[in-house]
Formats: sequence, C-alpha cells, structure tokens
Amino acid sequence: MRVYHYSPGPLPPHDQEGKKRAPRLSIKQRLAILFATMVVVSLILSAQVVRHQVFGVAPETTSSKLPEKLRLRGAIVDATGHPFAIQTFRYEVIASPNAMQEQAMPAIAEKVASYLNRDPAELLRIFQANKDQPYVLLDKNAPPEVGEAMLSDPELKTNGIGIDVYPVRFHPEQSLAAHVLGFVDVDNKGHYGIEEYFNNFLLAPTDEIVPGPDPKLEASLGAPVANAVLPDSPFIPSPARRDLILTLSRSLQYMAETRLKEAIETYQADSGVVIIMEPKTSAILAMAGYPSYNPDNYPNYDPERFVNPAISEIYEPGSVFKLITFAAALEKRAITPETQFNDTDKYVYGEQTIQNWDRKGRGKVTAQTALAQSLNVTTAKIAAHYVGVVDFYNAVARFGFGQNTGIELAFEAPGIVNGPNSTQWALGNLATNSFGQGISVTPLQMANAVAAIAAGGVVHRPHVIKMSINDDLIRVKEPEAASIAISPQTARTLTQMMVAAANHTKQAIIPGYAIAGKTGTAEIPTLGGYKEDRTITTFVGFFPADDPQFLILVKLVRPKTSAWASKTAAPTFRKIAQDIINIYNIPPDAIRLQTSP
Amino acid sequence: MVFQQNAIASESRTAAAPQARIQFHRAVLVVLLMMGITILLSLYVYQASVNYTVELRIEQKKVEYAREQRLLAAKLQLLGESQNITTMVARARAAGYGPPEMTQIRYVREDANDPLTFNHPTAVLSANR
Repeated sequence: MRVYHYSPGPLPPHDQEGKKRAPRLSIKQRLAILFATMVVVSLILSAQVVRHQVFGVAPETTSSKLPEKLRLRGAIVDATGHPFAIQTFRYEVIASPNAMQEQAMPAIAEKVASYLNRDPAELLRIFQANKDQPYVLLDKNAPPEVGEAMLSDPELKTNGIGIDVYPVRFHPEQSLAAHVLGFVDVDNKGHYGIEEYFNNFLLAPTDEIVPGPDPKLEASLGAPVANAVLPDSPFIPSPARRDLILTLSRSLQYMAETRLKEAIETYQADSGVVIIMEPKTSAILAMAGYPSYNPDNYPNYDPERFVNPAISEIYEPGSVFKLITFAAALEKRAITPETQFNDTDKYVYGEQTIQNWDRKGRGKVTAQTALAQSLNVTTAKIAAHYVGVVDFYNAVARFGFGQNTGIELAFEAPGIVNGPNSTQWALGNLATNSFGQGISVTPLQMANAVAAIAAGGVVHRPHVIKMSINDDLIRVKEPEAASIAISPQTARTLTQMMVAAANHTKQAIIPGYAIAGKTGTAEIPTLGGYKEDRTITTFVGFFPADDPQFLILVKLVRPKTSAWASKTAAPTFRKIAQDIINIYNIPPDAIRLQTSP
Repeated sequence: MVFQQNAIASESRTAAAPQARIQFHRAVLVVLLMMGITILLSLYVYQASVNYTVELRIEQKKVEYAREQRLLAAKLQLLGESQNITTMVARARAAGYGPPEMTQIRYVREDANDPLTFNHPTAVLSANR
C-alpha cells in the first residue's frame, strides 16, 4: 500500500549515497533571503543607475566646502559705499603632464594655447620636458573670463589640465587708506589695521567652519538695528555677507593724503600724519600716514611701512599739549583767560630750567596771550602753582593720555605718561610735561583730546566703523563717551582762547571762518639731548569754532625748510580746511550764523 | 480489494485537501509579500532617485552660484578700478575741472533756506569724571 503523506519537516541530513546535504530552508528563511537580495539589488541599482551622475561627474569645488585658507572675505567700503577692499578671484592654470598620453599632448597643447593665448609649440615643449611631473604651473593669474571658460571645459580636466581658484583681496583705490585697512596675506589672514582687528569677522563661515560669537568684536561693531539703511552701493552686501562700512570718506581721505604728500615734498619732511575727524563724535573721516604702501603689493615694501603712524607711533607733542594744562587750570577755576602772569627769561622748577622758544621773557602777560604766544615759562608756572601735580596728571588721564583710545585698529600704542607714581618721575617733569616735553602721545590721542574740547568736554572713543553687515544682521555703531574731561563752560572758554591762538598763527587762518587751533613744535629727543633743528611740527584745530564739525591734525616729522609748526603744519592745515569748506560747501560764519536758527 | 483501495484513496484525498489549501494560501501570501516588497523597494528606488537628483541639482546650482559670484567679483573689480578716485581726479583735471579758489565762491543768502545744517548723532553721556 502506498501512503501519501506530506512532510514539511527537514530533509534527512544524508542522501542515499551518504553525502552530506545542506539543511532545507524554511519558507520564512527563503523569504528573508529573497528580501535581502532584493534590497541589495535595489541598492546596487540605485547606486549604479541613479547616482551614476553624482559619481561619474565630480562637482566643482563650491564655496561651502572651501578650506579656511579659501574662505570668502567681506568687503570694506567708505561711508558712502565706495570700495576700499573687495574680494576677487585668481585663476591658476596647472598641468599634470604625467597624466597625459604622449600622443595626446599636441592636441592638449593646442587647446590650452587657444585659451591662454600662447604658442602651442611652447606648451608642447613644456609638457614633453616635464612628462613625469604631476604639477607644472602654466599661468599664475589667468583672466577671469579665461579661467571660467577653462573651468567649464570638461575635456581639460580629463586631459591633465587643472584650474585652481583662489580668493584674493583687491583694493580699487590702491594705496588709499592703506594704514587704516591693513593687508591680507596669501593665507587669507589680515595684518594690521581693520583687516587684522576684524579678521575673524570678515571671514565668512562655511559648512565646516562656523566661528563662535566674539563679544569683543561684536561690541566694536555696535548694536543691531532693524531698519538700518545701507549706503546705495553695488559692493555691499558682498558674497561673503560680512562687510564693514567705515566712517571714512573717500574724498576726504584722498584729499588728506594728497595734501600730506604735498606738504612732505614742500617742507622736505621725513614723514607725516593727517587726521580728520568729527569732533562731536570722534568718528574718523580720514587718517593718512606718509610714507604709505599699496596693500595689493605688500611683499614689495619694508614692513616698517605697514605701521600706522597715527595710532602706533608715539612722539612728544610739544606746545599743543599746553591746551591740556590750560584746560586743567581753567577747570580748577585757578585762572581765567585774563589772569596775569610774569613771564620771565628763565623759570627753575625742580631740577628743570624752563625757557621760552626764543629764550626771552615777555613780562606781564595774560593767560590768553601766554597760550597764543605759546609761552613755556608761563605754562610751566600755571602747572606748578595753579594746577598742581595731582590735578594736572588727573586731567592728563581724563583726556585719555597714557592709555589706548579703543579705536578698532590693530597695534594701537598707549603712549607714555610718567606720573608721580612712576619711578622715572621727578618734580621738574611737571613743568616740562605742561608744555608737552617728556610725555609721549600718539597723533590720535592728541586729536581726540582736542576733540573733547570741541565736544563740550566729553571724550569720545574714536572709531572708524560706521555699520556692519553680518548675513541679514545690520549693526550700527553709535558714538560712545569714554570720559568727561572738562565742563562745557571750560570747553567754551578754552575754545575762545584757541580761536585767539589760531588767529595769532596767520598761516592757519581762513578769512571769514573762525578756527580754533594750536601749533606745536617739539624737538626730537636724542641721546645727546634735544636738537633744535630736529623737530616734529603739529597743528591741530577745529571749525566752525561756534559749532565744531571738523577737526584736523597735521603732524610733520623733521621738516627741513623750517623747523616751526607755524611755517609747515599750519599752512597744511589751512589747505585741508579750505578743501573741506569746498567739499562740504560751508559758507563763511557771517552768512551761516545769520541764517541758522 | 478494489473497494478497499478506493476507500483508502478516498481517505487520502480528504486528508490532502486542507493541505493543498494551506499550500495555496501560502503561495498567495508569498506572492502578495513579494508584490508588497517590490512596491516598497520601487518606492525606495524612486525616492532615492528623486533625492539624488535634487542633491545633484543643488550641487550644480551651488557650482553655478559660485561661478556667478566669481564673475560678479570680476565685474565689480572692473567697476572699482574705473571709479578709482585718483584716475577720476586726473580725468577731471584733464577736462579742465578743478577745485575752486576761495575767492571764486560767492555765497548768496536766501531767506528760509539754511545753507548748512549740521546733523550729528548724540553720544551717550554715561562716563563719569
């Protein structure tokens, strides 16, 4: 009898011949294998069919995948949007002859030559001579249209020709404002000036590099403003969207640099500085230093050129510093402009013997006359007998000397003020310091201290940043008060005294305009003492005196035609002031005051 | 004998019928499962295809955007160079223009028209003496 039965169980482990057989799989196991196979097949299909384009044609390098060296860098523009520093690109054409087939070299040379406008035979010789080399530079700086055309030619890439694109800094105004800007090296790192101070801000973040918040930088950039209006300029926002809008005016900067260069040539000076600022806010409108450099060609210059003399070079200010002494005395109500003094030939105080510039005493003089005629003896007497050690050095500190002003530029020097707490201080220092000897300041500190007189006694932090763009966030920098040096009343009195002092300097005055100013001629200290023929001449002044809008500081180092500020710095000041009057169309005081409310 | 054989066969058939049904159901189930898996995998392949196509397009757009940025930068470089103030001043001077002398300017007062209004932001006077 034959019995049919269904046996779903496993097959016996051995067949009839006794051979070992694989155990029979259950339905579930078969299904699992089938499923896994289909998954694998579909993944292979997906990779081969769908992704073949991605794998087959590697995409070009995109901005999001740039290493740090190649990160985009934001633009720096002036207050009206004119570009000082922008991002461009350099196209480097390289060949890998070792990746070329020898018989294909002539055709490749022909093609590359047509792009680079070179002789094909010459390129062929280069390829053949370097056939084992993986890297041969064909063009370090191909024009953008050529670089882009070559980048979009797929044949070149497969035939051993590559195009590397590097972001580079470009300065449309060349050397203009170079000391303020600084420069960017080949590694995309900023040096000096704004480029160094704001290096981490200007570099755009990438997918890989997202820098954390920097409270110091953010504080320097001001507060976010929702409805801030940017200057109408095609240069901002830049592709990096990390841009800085400066308080500088391109026109004033150009004028300041031109006038400074003229002055240095005319008076045969070694170097010089011009600063133009808004005295009521300490916003820098122009900051010129000579000699300067072109940041696009920075490797060709002596590194000493990179130093901004307006903020990093200290000097003895000379008679301009008398303003601080008179401010301290007026503020203490120890003197008035009419207070009389006996101006003698010599005045001995401590270990110092003080004399006037011509070694002659003037006899009875008022404080007003002493300032106008820049009398050292009377100024020293005021410091010693009317102000005193403590009040004098307190006033010096309130005006911001001996400390950084806080301007947003790299390498600012604090200056040197040896007060009574210093071991290098002696009693006679009070007398010499009172007229600007034995004390070192930066031109910016001096300008900012005089600006405080124009601003009713308030010392503001000088600044070059007006606005900034950080993606969609716009920050606006507001003026910031650092300290109050003197009262508004003292400031008004001192301004009137400065107007009289400027009128005493005929080379500085402009008919019809009241200018408040002061000359300073400082002998340069050397190992053998002070030399009369080696001077630093300064004129600092502001106008209109009744409502100060512009402050100008001119400093010339070792002018040869004359050692005196009244003959060198003062006429330069006047030319710059005249230019500003023209540029801003400022009417004479009589007309302006007649029509103003 | 024949009857006995028929009876046995009949018994056997009645026992095999549910087995066949079970087999049939299993086969249907397998087919359905296969169809389901195929649909799911097809959907996966389709979705993957869409994703990768979009990714590819994004990559291409990024490349295109980077290229446009570079071309824009080149144009801005030319624009910046053309607006260089030194060149512009030289051009203006060559064309006969220049800054006026103070004596060449005459100011005319017009009622109700302030010729110069200075406008500055006010500092926050937070500092102490």
